[in-house]
Amino acid sequence: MLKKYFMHKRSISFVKFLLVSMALFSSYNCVKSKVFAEPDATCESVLSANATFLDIKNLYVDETIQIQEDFLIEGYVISSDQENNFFGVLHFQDAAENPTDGFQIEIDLRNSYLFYDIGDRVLLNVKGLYLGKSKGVFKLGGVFSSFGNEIVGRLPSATVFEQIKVLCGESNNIIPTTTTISELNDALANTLITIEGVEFLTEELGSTFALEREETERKLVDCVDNELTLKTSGFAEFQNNLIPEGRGHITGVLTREGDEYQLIVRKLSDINFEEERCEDLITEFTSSNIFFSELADPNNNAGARFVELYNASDTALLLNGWTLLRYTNASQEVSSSLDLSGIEIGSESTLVISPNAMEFEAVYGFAPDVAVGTNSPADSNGDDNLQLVDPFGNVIDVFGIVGEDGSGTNHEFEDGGALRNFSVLQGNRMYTITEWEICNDTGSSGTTNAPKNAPEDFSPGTHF
Amino acid sequence: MHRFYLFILLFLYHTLAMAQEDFSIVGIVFDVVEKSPRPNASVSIEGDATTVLSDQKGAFSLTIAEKGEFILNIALAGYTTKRIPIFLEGKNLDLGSIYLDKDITFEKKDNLITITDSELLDNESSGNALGLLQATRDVFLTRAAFDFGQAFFRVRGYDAEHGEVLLNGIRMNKLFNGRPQWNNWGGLNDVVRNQQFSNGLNPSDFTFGGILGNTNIDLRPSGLRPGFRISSSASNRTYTGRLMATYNSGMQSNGLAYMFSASRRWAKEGYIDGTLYDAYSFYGALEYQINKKNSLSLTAFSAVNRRGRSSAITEEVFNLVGNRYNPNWGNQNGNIRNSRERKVSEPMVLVNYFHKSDNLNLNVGFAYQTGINARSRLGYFNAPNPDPTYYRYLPSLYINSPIGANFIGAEIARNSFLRNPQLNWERLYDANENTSLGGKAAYVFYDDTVADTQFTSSLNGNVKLDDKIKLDFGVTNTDLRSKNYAKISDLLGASFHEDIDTFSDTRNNILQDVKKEEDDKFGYNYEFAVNRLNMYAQVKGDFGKLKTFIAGNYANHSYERNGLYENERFLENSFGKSSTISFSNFGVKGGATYKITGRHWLAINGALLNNAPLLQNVFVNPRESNEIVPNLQDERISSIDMNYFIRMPKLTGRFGGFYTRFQNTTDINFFFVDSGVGSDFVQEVLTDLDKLHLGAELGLEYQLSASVKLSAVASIGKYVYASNPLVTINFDTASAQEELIDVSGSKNLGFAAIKDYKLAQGPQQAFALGIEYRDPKYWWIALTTNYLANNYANISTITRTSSFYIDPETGENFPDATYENVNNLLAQKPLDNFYLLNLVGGKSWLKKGKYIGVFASVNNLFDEVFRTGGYEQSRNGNFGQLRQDNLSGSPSFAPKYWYGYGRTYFLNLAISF
Repeated sequence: MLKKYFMHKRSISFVKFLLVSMALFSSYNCVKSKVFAEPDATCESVLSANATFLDIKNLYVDETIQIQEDFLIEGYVISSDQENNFFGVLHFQDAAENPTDGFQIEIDLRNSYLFYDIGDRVLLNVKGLYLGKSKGVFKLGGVFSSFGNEIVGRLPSATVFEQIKVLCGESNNIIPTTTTISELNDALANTLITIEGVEFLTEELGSTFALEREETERKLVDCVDNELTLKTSGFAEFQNNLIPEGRGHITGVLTREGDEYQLIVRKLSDINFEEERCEDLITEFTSSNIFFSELADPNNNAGARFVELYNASDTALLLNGWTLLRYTNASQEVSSSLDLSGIEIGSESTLVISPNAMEFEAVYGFAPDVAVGTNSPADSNGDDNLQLVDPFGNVIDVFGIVGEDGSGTNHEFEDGGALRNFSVLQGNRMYTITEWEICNDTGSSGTTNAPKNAPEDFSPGTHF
Repeated sequence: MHRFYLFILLFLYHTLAMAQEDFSIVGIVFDVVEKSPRPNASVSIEGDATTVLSDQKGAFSLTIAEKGEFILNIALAGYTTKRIPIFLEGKNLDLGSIYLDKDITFEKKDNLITITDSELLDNESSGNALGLLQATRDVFLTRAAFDFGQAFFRVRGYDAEHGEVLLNGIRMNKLFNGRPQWNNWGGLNDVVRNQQFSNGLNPSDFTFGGILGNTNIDLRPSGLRPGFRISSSASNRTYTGRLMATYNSGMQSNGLAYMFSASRRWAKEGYIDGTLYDAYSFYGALEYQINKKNSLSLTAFSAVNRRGRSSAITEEVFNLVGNRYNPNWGNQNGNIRNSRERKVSEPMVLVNYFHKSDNLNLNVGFAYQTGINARSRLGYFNAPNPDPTYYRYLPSLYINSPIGANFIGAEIARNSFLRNPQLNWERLYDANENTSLGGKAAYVFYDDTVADTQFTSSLNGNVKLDDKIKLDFGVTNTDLRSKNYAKISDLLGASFHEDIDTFSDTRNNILQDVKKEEDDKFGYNYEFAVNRLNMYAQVKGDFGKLKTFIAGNYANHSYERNGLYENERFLENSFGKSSTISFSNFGVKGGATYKITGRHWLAINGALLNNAPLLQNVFVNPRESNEIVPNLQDERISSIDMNYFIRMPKLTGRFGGFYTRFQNTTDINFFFVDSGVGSDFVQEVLTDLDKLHLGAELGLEYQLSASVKLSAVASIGKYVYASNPLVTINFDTASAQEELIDVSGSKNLGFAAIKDYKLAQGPQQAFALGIEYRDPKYWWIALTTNYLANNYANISTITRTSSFYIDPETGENFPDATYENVNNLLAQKPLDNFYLLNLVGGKSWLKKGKYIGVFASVNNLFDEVFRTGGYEQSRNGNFGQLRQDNLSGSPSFAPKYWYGYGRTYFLNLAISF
C-alpha cells in the first residue's frame, strides 16, 4: 500500500518534470537560428536622378568645392578594378550606348567591382561630395588638403556605400563607342570606347604591359602612324604579361591628362589583337627620284613663296616619314621641319608646298598641294639651306650648303628663284650648282642677277 | 630527497602517535524546517583535515585525538555552515541533534554561473577559472569569484589550465589548452552543486592536480537534494532568460536513485550588442546501490551552447560607439546576425563504480565524450574586409595618412561610421552575386571546427592505512582524436568557393577539387591523436598539531598530427602523419599544517612540477604542416605558498603569500606584421619564456552580530615576465622571392627584451569590503565595494626584439631608434583602476512544503565603464612605423581592449518541493 503510494507520487513527479521540460523547449524559437534566408535586394528603387553630369560640372568655378546642392546623378559604371588596373576610382558615363558625357569619382574602396561592376546603373548622391578639376579633368570624391589647397581625394569606404547606390534592374550591356585614334575628341573623354585597327609600337614589342609597381605608358599606333598612349598600372594582374604583337581592337576608358588622351583597359580581355600587324603593308618607302625642282622667293610678293618637289619615277609614292628640313641662314641646326607623312606624290608629278595657301591661290590661280605655315621650310627668303630626308633618315636631296648663309653665294635665290635643270632625274646629297638655274638680286658665283616676279616668272605645278 | 621526506613523515607519525589517545564526537544533522535528517553533511574540526560525512540517517562520528578549544564545522550544500565552538577535554562528546538552516544565499551560485558564461566565451585568451571556485567557503576566494570575477580577476594571476576539474573523479581539462570547458555542463546548475574544492597546492582526495586548485563535481543523485526544483531567471548579462527544471528521486529503498535535469538559456542579445545566446542542456543519471559499500552510476548529459561573440576594440572605436559596441554583427532581414558565433556541443556519458568502506574508497570511471566546438568566421577572398572596424574604414586612417593628416577626410569617415557601425550582410550577398565572379564567392561564412572524441578511464583510491596515515592514488588514461577543419556553412549567395590562399595564390589542398560548396570542408583539415597517461600517489599524515602530505605525479603525453590535406605551400610536410612527440614528466608537491591552537594555524605548501607542453604549443601551424616547434621544452613550475589561518568564533580569516615561477614555457601567436626584417603573415614562436607570480592574499570575515557580517579582502600581486624569450617567426615561402623575409620559411629574431614587463593576467591588485545582513525572517542583503588596480594589456613580443630597430627599407637601424626613444614608445601603461559596487539580496519562503527562493543581484551599480584586458597589435613591427602611427594619438593599430559590463542585474526565482 505504502509502496504503491510512493510509486504513484514518483510518477506524478516525473510527468511534471516532462511537462516543465517541454515548456522550456517550446521557447526555443525565440532565438534566431544560424540559418538565414537570402536578404531581399538592396538596390535603389525609389530615388532617381535630378541632374546631369554637366549640371554638376558647371558648379565648378576655379577651385575644389563641396557640393551643397541636393543633386542626384545617374550613370553606368564602365571601369572595374577586378584586375587591379583601376584603383581607387570609378568611371561612369551617362548612357549604356552612345554616351554624351562621362565622369569619375575617387573612392577609398578596394575591389569596388564587387559592389559597382561594369554595366551597373548607379545613383550618386553628390551632396557633400567634393568636386574638383585637375589636368582638365573633373573629379568627384572626398577631399584632401595639401599645403592649404583642397584637392579631391578618395571618399572613405563607408561613405562610398552611402553616396553611391546601385539602381534596381538587370546589369546593362555597355556598348563602347567605336572610333579611331584620329577621331578622338573631348566628347569621348571618360567614356568607354573601342579603337579598331591598332597595334603596339614596334619598338615596344617584347616589353611587359607595365613595370612592377610602376604606372607605365605604352604606345598604340594605327596603320597610318597615329599614336595613343595606353596607361597600365604596375599593380595590374597582367602587368607582367608581354604586350601582344598583333593588331586589332582595344576597349577601354578614354581618359585625358592635360591635352593628351590616354586609354586604360579594365581587363586583359579588353585587348583583342588577333590580326596581322600593319607592318606587313609597308607604309614608308624611300626613293632617290624625288628632289627639289623649284624654289621661289618672288621679288614682288613674299606671300607667293613655294617649294616644289618632283617625283621623276614612274610610280606614285606615299611620303610617310619624309621630312623637309630648313636650315636658316648659317644655322647648323634644323630651323624648321615639315613632316610629309600621309602625303602622296604622283609619278612624274610635282608637289607644291606653300606657306601661304590663300595668297598662293590668288597669285597662281590654283591651290598648293600642301599648305603649311609661315616660317615653315617652304617659307625661305632665299638665303637658307634645305634638305629632303627619307623615312630612314637618309638625305635624298639638298639645296645649298648647310652652315653657310646663302647671301652672295651660289645658293642664293633671294627675290628670285631656283629651278632644277630638267635633265636632273635624281636627288643629290651634294649641292651642285650646275644642276640649277638660279636667279636673284646679286648674281654672284654662277647665279644670275635677275629678280623674278610672280606669277609670270614661276612655274609651280609643272616641271618640264 | 623524497625518501628523506618520507622518513620525516614516518618519524613524526611514530613520535606523535604515541602521545595521543582517540575519542569521538557524535551527532545527527537535521534540516531545521523539515525536521528531516540530512545525509552527506561534511563534519570537521576547523584546522584539521579529517572530515566525515553524515550517513543516510544524518548521523556522524568524528574521531579526534586532541584537547582544547575548537570549532566544529558542519557544512552541507544548500545550507548555512554551522560553526559550533566546543571544548575537548579528552572525552567522547555527543552533540545530539544539530539543525542546519537553509542557505538563503544559495541562489548566489547561479549568479556566478552567469558571470562565467560570458567570461569563458567572449575572451578567448582569458582562461579565467571562476567556475572552479563555486564550492569554496573561503571568503577571499568567494570575493574573487563573485565580485572581482566580472573584472577578469584571476586568483594568483593563474590561467585556468592550472586548475583541474573532475566530474565523478574523471578529469575534464581539455588536452588542447589544459582548460576545463565549462560549457560542457553549462545550465546544469542543479546537478553540479555537490563539489569538493581544494585550494592552491592543498592536497585533493581526487587528483594530484594543478597549482591553482582542484574541484571534483560529484554528479551522483544520492549526493544531491531529492525532489523537484524549477527555477526561472531574468538577466541582462549574457542571457536574458533561463529556465531550469530538475527532478531527483533520491536514494530509494530498492537501491536506485535517478535524476533528470533540463535547462534552457536564451537571449536575442546580451549586454554586449549582437551577442545572442541559445543554450539547452539535458541530464540524466541512474545510480544503483548494490549494497552499503558498492554502487554503480550511469550519467549522460548534453549541453548545447550557441553564442554570439564580441570583439576587443580600440580606444578610437570605443570613443565613437561605447563599451557595448560589437562589430561582429549586422542585421539581415531585420534579425541580428553575428559573424562570430560559437557553438559547443560535446555530450558525454560517464560510467562509475564506487566502493566505499571504512578504510577504502575506490572510484573506477569511464567517460566517453564526442562532439563539436565550432567558431564561425566570415572569410573574405580578394574582397574588402567586412569588419566595420577594420583600420582602413576608421577616421584614424585619414589622420595617420603618410602624406599628412587629413582632418576633413577623417570627419567624413567618422560620420559614415557612426551612421552605419555594423556589419552589412546584404553587401556581402551583393558582392557574391556579382556576375564578374561567375558564382565564385568573395565572402564565405564558415566554421572553424574542432570535432573531438575522447575516451578517459580512471581509477582513484583513498586508503586509510591507520588513524594517522591516508594514502591516495590514481591512474588516468585519456585518448583523444581531434578533427580540425574549416567548413562552409553559408556561401552567402555564391555558388562555390575556390579554395586558394589569396595571398600566395596557392592551393590549400592539391588532392581535391579546388571548388567547394556548402557543408564542404576547406582551408585546412587535420587530426590530432593524443594520449595522456597520468599516475599519482599521495600520502597524508595527521599527527594532531601537525599534518603533512607529500604527493608525486607521473605523466606521459604523446602528440601526433595527421594532415588530411596536401598544402601547396608545404608540399613536403603537410600531408600524412607527423612523428610522434612524447613527453614523460614528474611532479612532486608537499606541505604541512601546524596548529598553534585550535584557532590559529599555519600552513606551508610547495610544488615542483615538470609539465609537458600543451598541445596548442606543440605545432608551429598545425593548419598547414607537421612542423614542430623547435627545441620544444618541458614547462617547469616551482611554487610555494604559506598561509596563516584564524578561526575565532567571530573573526575568521586567512592571510598568505605565494611565489611561483613558470619556466621554459612556449607560446605561439599569429598575426600580420610589418617588421624590420619584412612584412608577412607569421606564426611567432616564443620559447624559453619564464613568468613570475608572487603576491599576498588576505581574507577576513567578522560576525558583528547574529545577522550582520563584515568582510575585507585584499590581493596584491606581481605577475611579470621573468626572462627574455627566444622569438622565431615562421611563414610560408610561396610568395614572390624578393618579398620573402627568409627563403627558409623561418627567421630567428633573437631574444625579446620583455623581462619585467607585466603579464596580462587580470588586475594584479584587488580590494573589497563587504557587509552582509541576514534577517531572521529569511531575507538577506549584501553589499560589496571593490577596487581593482594594476591591470595590463598583453604586450606584443616581436616589437621587443632587435628587429624592431631595423628600417625595412634600408636594412639598417633607424638613426633615431635609440634605446631611449624605443623604450618610451614601448613603455607599458596600466589600464585605468576602477571601483565596482555590487549589491545582492534574496528572500525565501516555505509554504506547504514548497521552498520558494528569490535572488537578485545588481553588479556595477554605478555603471562604471572599465577595461578588463586587452592586447597590443603586432602589426607595427618596426620603430619607424609604430612611431608614425602613434604620432596623432589615435593609432590605426592601437591596442585592442575588452570592456567590462556596466550596470547589470540578475534575478532568479526558484521553487523546490
